[in-house]
Amino acid sequence: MNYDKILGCLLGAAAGDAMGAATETRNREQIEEYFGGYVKKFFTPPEDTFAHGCEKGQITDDFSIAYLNCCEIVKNGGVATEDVAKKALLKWYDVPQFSRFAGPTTKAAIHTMMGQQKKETTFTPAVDNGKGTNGAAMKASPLALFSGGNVDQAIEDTLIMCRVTHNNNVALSGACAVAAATAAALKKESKLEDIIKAGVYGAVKGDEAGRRDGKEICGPSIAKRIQKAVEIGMTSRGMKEAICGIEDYIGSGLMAAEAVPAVFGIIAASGGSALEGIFGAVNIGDDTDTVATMVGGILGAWEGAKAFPEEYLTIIHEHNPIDLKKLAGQIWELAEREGKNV
Amino acid sequence: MEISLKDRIAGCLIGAAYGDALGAPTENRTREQIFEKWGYVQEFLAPPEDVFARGNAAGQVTDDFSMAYVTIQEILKAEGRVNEEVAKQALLEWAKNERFLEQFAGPTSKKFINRLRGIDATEQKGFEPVNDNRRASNGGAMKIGPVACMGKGNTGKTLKIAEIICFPTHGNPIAMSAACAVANAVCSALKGNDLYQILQDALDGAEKGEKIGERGAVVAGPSMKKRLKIAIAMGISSENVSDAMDILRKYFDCSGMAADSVPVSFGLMAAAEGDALQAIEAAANIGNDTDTMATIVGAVLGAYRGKDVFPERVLKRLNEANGYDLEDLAEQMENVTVTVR
Repeated sequence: MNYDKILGCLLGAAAGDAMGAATETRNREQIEEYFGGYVKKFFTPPEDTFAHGCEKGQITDDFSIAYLNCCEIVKNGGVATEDVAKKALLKWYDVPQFSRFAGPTTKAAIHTMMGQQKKETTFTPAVDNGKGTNGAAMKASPLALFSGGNVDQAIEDTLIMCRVTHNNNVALSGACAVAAATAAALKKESKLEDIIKAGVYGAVKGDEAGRRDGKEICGPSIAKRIQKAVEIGMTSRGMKEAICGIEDYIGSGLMAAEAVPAVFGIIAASGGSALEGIFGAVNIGDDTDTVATMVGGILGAWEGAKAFPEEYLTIIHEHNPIDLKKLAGQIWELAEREGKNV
Repeated sequence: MEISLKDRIAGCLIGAAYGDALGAPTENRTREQIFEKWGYVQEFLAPPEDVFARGNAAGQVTDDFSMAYVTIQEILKAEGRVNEEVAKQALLEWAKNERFLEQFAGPTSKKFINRLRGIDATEQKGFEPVNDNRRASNGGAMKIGPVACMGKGNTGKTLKIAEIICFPTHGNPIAMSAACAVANAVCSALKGNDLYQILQDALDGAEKGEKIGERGAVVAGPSMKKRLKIAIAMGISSENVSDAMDILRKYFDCSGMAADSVPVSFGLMAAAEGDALQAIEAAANIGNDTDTMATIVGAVLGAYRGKDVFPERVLKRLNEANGYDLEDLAEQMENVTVTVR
């Protein structure tokens, strides 16, 4: 792990979120039609997307939550705890430009934390399969920055930080897949297949932990679907064909069992290029900002910040109340102290 | 041995009702949780308090079959006419059961029904995203099987019926693909085709349904017809039904989304090699949206095998618990010629 990789992860995740915010909800054909082709830059989100009213380059809930999580972990000396997670979440919820985006699972969890359980006008069955969403995976990649590339540490930290909102085996499986992949990506000697293998490993571990300590809900095997998506990604001729196949067979929507495998399929098709990966995610359709933030975090950690055009950092800093270089520096320092930077 | 058209229609009705009622108590739970609570479910059970069908008696159907039943009644009332008016009337008629409306109607259907009743949805936040991708649900596929019998094996007519009945609430490529896959499979079964042909016709229906749906709302989501193919292949290549249940639920979410539960339903049919009871039970035990998968399986394989595949006590219980006379209904359906205009 080194400073460039740390910054790369943060910048990739931020850029993926912001770029995907403009294409979110549309399907692949609609994106092509609306934006006049394959999207490869930041656009102002249209009026009919969740991010309407945002400027181009503005992040949504995906990266803002991840950023605040990292800031709070740093404040706690690099140690992730449940209290840190709750603190970060409540701080995040206090920022209207971020919390307006709160997804269904996150919002419900925050209300419970604040003691404001919504009066249950709708009946919730004993097993709430609607909670297997991608809201944990979406914030998981930067959590791996405190692991120094240790996959098991990244998984452990992710479980701690994500349980407060997504304490079920499906959501946690997705989150741990992303964190594990990012941890692997931070290691200098990792190859692309190591990242993918780590993702499958993380998916299995996250599922196990969720069943053991959280709620067991219905959902496909994220590990198996990652493998299927990777197969599609590897056998497609180029990213544009890959995203068609991934969308057709896997999907790229709100459920973790769609979005997370889609991430890995895109990674497989990207040849390791963070930009190609982010573009693929931005154009695949459906929950594009979430898929792109995950791809950006993982491949940004692998390629490093040098993979991105200089203007990306400027754009992100100009349009968002965050300082990625400062955060990256703080994380790097913590890692230096613990000898995690090699 | 020849199975009469009437017996196939009756088989479809009984199968669909049986699947719905069998899966009603197990809904939402995982395969393991179902097994832990009840063992492998092969009998009617009263749903527990923590599922959508709470309050139902054992053998009572849910929205899946009751919607189909009411729709058929409305078509019969209209002397075989199937048009937008009849489709809307069916929804309104169904909604008269307040408990069913409250407990079972999904948000899309409820909104639509309220609009039909002239009750404007109150919480209009003003912002509508470009797509509502959750509309790609299995609500059309779940009810269309029995209704498709009114096409009496005529493909064109059957698909037209599916379109008219499902398009108002499920007019998008993914949901219509699923609905037409089911409708065409039932149609194929009524013609006396073998299982392979029925599955082929399901794929064909999926293709045609997708095109019909393209005239409606755009949605983002996976390809129902491509996933249908994969699920069928998985079912065919499984060692047994139990293995098929496991492999299908590893790759597919057995949820209310059309591109998940409908492929799984056909995968189970293929794995059971057309054995109606085995396949219906598998659907009721696989977990998640069990009643819908089981009702779809029951409709198709009930039409395939004919009514005699179901034990007498099953028909008796279904009629008793729901106030039905399913054999009589089949006869009425056989005697009516549908006009689609």
